[in-house]
Amino acid sequence: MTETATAPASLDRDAVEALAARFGDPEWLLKRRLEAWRLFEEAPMPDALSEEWRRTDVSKISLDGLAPFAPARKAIEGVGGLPPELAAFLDENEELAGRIVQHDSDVVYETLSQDLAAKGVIAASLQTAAREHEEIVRESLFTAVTPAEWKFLGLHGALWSGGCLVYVPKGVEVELPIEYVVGLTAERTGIFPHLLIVAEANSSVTVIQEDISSEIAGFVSGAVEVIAREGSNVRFVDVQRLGKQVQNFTTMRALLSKDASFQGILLGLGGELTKTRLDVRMDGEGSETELLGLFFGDDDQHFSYYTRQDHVAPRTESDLLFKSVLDDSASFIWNGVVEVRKGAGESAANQTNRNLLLSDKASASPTPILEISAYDVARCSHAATVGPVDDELIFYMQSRGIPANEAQEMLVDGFFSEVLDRVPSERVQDRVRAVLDTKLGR
Amino acid sequence: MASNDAPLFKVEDLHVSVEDTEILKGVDLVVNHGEVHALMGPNGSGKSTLANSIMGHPRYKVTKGKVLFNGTNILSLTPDKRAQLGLFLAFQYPVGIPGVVMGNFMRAAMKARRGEDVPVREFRKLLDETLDLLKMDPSFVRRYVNEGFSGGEKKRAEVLQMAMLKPEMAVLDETDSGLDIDALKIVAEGINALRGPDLGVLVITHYQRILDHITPDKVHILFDGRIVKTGGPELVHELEERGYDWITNVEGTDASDAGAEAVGAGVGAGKEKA
Repeated sequence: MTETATAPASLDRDAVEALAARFGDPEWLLKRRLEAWRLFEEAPMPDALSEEWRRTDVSKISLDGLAPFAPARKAIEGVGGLPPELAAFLDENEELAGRIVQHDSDVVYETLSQDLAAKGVIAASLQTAAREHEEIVRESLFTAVTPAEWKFLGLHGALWSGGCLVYVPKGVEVELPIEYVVGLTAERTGIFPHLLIVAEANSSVTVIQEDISSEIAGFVSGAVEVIAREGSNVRFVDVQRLGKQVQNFTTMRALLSKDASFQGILLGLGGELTKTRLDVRMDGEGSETELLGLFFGDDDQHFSYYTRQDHVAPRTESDLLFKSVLDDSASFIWNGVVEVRKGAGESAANQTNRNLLLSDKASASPTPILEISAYDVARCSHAATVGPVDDELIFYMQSRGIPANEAQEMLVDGFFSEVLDRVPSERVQDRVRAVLDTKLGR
Repeated sequence: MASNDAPLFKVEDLHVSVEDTEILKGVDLVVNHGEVHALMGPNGSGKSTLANSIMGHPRYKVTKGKVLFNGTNILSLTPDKRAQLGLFLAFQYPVGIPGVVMGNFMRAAMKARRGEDVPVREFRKLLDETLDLLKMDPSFVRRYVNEGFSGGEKKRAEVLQMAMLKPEMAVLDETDSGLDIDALKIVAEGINALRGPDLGVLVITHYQRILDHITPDKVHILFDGRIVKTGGPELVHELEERGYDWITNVEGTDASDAGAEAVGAGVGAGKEKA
């Protein structure tokens, strides 16, 4: 197996063993990888006729010729050490509590404030943590997201590498964000990043994941797991700015204990084809979820989101607000389920999706779904709209001297503001605004 | 401010159609610097069509005629260019602009009107004075434009924008509608405060009540797409006493194109269809 340690093998079972050997995975982890590989092999490829995939061009999705992992990447001293096309996305001086940088299959940089390390906070390569903090990783890894869910998660379970563990001990509040960067430069290579966040009771943390790439035909199948224990407060921001030829399949799921709160913010800007599943399971009484999404597509970018607000325990609350702006031939799909289970009395849920079309060829298809089994739901509502920029608004703004193109820009900004205004951290707000400005070419 | 001796604002034989139906059938109107004109008329006479056409709303198709602003025909200009020249329309139904804060909106508009950024201090000062004039709460600046505003707030916001943008010619489209008497007074006072030798105003209204507070120099009556009568302020009271039926009947007794004739002594007198 040493032969394959640096050269990518073909996508087969041997590749799984080669990967584990290259990174020195413990035996228990290799066993899990091989089990996931079996699930991958048994599962079918996305089916064009299924409800889940029928609006996505599955003919574009193929595993043929995909390398299972990338050649080893060298450790760096800071984000400036990344290839320039990745470094351009990042600020070396960003004020952060910690930063974990994955370049293709390897974590190449790890840093965490000493103060937090002293309090027992961990922000580290997940693969390293599997050896050094085995008890935490072994207990929590693949408890929220499992390789059995669908084919590409099976593949992810077998071949994930690098990754990031964020662990916050009981009662510790991490004020600055911790950032996990996933940067791709490997052509036609499977990259399988995994973020595991474990927030112990009454702790709080913000984790920002940055997905970036060079202009390559890339393939990502990632997972994000959030375990939020009693009374904890977790905020997760995903900034997806992959290149326009990258396909991205990611499953994110948060499990909330009693009185835990979770805020998930998705910013979808890049990628050729993005398929993201975001679920929150509110297992604990009084837990709360807020899901916010901002998406901006142009050219023929395709975004498909599936969300599930799963109310298991009583008096749980969830609210989703997704907004997309679509230009050219970009398409956006959102299927959002609110499930209020029998035992989840007095719970409240809302979901809202608004889509602004800047071109006749752009499209959005929102589908909100309510599955209510509880008898005594406090409140449950949903709304979805799709439409072009209102000409009357443009005329009104023009009548004040503002040119039509500037008026449209202001309306797009305004459209996104409603979401941004709900992001409590100004730091995160500014960052998202800056990313949007770049996308809008300002 | 007027270039040579052209009037500030002149509408010449304006014909406008909406979805192939002709609404304005030859409107003539001249407003000079410093003048306030009232345009009155019953529902459906074409008042709002005139206001929107002057500003350049794309739904209103001008099929004939001119709109001259300081002697230049502005009909080929986009609405933003017209506004930059100094034309202003106070909307009958101002639309809400979600996510766009009033303060930012005003800054962008003033920048466009002046062709350069407005220094923050100057902007702030002007804004505070105008808010005060219109008895508006300062928090207003942080709200989304017209979103969730009451009827009175919307109309005051229109006058606020007018005050800040300092147009040369302002068209107020039913700025009085939907206002209670107190709000009406505040709005009228605001407009009166802006009156001056450099500003021309066209007050479009269905009712006479705003004209109790803003005394016009001239009054025009629009009926079926034409100005059928023009006079001084006394016309307002005549209309009040006799109602629009009086005009309708004048129109009805004459031949179909009698409208132009009825204008007679008015501003439209120069219009003689050959």
